[in-house]
Amino acid sequence: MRGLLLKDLYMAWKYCKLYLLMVVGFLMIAAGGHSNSFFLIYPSIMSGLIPMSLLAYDEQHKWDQYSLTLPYTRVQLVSVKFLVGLALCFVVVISSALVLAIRMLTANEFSWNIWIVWVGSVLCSCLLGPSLCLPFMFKLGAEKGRIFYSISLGLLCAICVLLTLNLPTGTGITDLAAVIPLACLVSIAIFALSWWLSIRFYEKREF
Amino acid sequence: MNTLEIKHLSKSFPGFQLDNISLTLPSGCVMGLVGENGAGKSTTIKLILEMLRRDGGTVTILGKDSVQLVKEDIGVVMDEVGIPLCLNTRQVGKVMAGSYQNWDQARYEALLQKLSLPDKKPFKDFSRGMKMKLGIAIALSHNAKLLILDEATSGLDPVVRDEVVEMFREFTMDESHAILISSHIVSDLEKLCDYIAFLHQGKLLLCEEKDRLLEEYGLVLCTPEQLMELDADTVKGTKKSPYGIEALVLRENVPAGWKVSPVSIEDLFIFMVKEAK
Repeated sequence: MRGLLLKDLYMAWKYCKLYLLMVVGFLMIAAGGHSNSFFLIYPSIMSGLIPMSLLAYDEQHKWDQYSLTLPYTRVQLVSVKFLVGLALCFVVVISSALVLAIRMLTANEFSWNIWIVWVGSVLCSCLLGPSLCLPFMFKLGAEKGRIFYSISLGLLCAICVLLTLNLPTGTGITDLAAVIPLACLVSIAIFALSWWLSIRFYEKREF
Repeated sequence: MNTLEIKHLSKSFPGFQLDNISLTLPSGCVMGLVGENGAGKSTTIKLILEMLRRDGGTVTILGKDSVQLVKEDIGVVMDEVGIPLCLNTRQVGKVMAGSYQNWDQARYEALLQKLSLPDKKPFKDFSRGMKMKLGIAIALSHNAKLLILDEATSGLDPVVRDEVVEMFREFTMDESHAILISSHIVSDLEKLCDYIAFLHQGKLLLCEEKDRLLEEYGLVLCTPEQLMELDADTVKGTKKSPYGIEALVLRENVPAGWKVSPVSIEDLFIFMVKEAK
C-alpha cells in the first residue's frame, strides 16, 4: 500500500496545501494564547476534509478506475483514505493537546477536566467528517456523496443542539469531562463502522 | 497454454446486453477486439478486470479464475489514463515502484526516454498522446505477462503509433506474453494481431485467426446479374459502389475465373456489421 499512500501524500501536498497551512496557522494562533475555542476545533474539522477532497480528486482524475487495475484490493483502496484520515487526526489531536496544555500552563490555569474536554472534542470532530462522508462517497461517488454528507451533518448538528437544550441549567464545560471519554469511544466506533461500510459499498460498486 | 479464456460472458445494462461472449487468447499471441462505439469492447475489458460484475460466464486469466490473483502480471491501459493530474513522471515512477513488486525502474526510465516523455512536467500538461504513452510505459515496466489495452493507440500520431505497435510486437516476442487490444484504428490491429474478434451490439460476430480470415474471405466486384450466379452461402455481404456491386465472399466457393481481391480487416468488419443489421 506504499504506492497508494505516497500518491495521496503528493496529492495532499499539491491540492490540500491550503488546508494544511490553515491547520498549522490556527493551531499557532491557539498556542499564542487566543482563548477562542474556534481556533482549536476548526483545524480538526479542516483535517477531516482532506480524505474527502483526495477521494473527489481521485474520481475527477479517473484514478478510481485506474487504481482497480493496479495490484491492490478494493479493501486497500478504501483503507488508504481512512489511514490518511487517522494519520491527520493523530497529528491534529497531539498538536492540539500540546497547544492547549502550553496555553493553560503559561496562563497558570491548567485544569485536567477542561483539557480532557477540549482534546476529546478535537478527536471527535477529527473523526466525524470522514466517518460521515466517506461511506456515501464510496457508494455514490464524490458529488452525490457530498450531498448526503451535508444532510447527515445537518441531522447530527440538530441532534447535538437538542441534547444541549436538554442539559440542566448551569452545566459548565468541566461537567462534560465525564461524558467525553464515552463520546470519544462512540466516535471511534462510528469511524470503524464507517470504514467497514465503505469497504462493503466499494466492493459492490461498478465502474 | 491459454493466457485468457472467456466462456459465455454476459452482462446486462438497461438498453444494452453483452451476450454470451466466448474468446480464447493463447500465450504469445495478440487478439484485437474490433467493434463500433457501444459494441461492448470496453464492457468486455471491464468484466475481465472485474471493474464490472458479470451476470454469467467465466473468465480464466493466466490460469486463475480471478484477476485479483494476477494483477502483478497484467499491464492495463484504459482509454483514459487515470494518473493524478498533479504528478510528474518521476513521481508516477515512485508511486508505481511502491505498488508493483516487479517494478523495473530502469526499464521505465528507458521507455520515458524512448517515448520522449518529460520527467518534471505534470500530467495535466500532457497532450492526449503523451498521456497514452505514459500509460503504455507503466504497463510495460513491471514485467507483465498480459497487456490489456483499451483504445491505447488512439490519440497518438501515426509515427508514434507505429513505434508503439512495434513495442507491442517486441513484447509478444516472448512466448509467455500476450496482448488483448481494442481499437477503432483497425489498421493497427491488422498490423499487430494474430486473432481478431468482431463485436457488434454486444454479440460476438466472429473470433478467428487473422491470417485465416484474410485467406478465407475476399472481395469481388460484379454486376447484379453476376452476383445472382454465386451461391447464397458464398456471399457474406454486399455493398453498392459506382462501379457495380462489391461483395464479400468465401474464396473457396467462388467459381474459377472470377477475380477475387484481398479484403482488409476493416472492410471485412464493415461488411459483417452491415449484414448483421
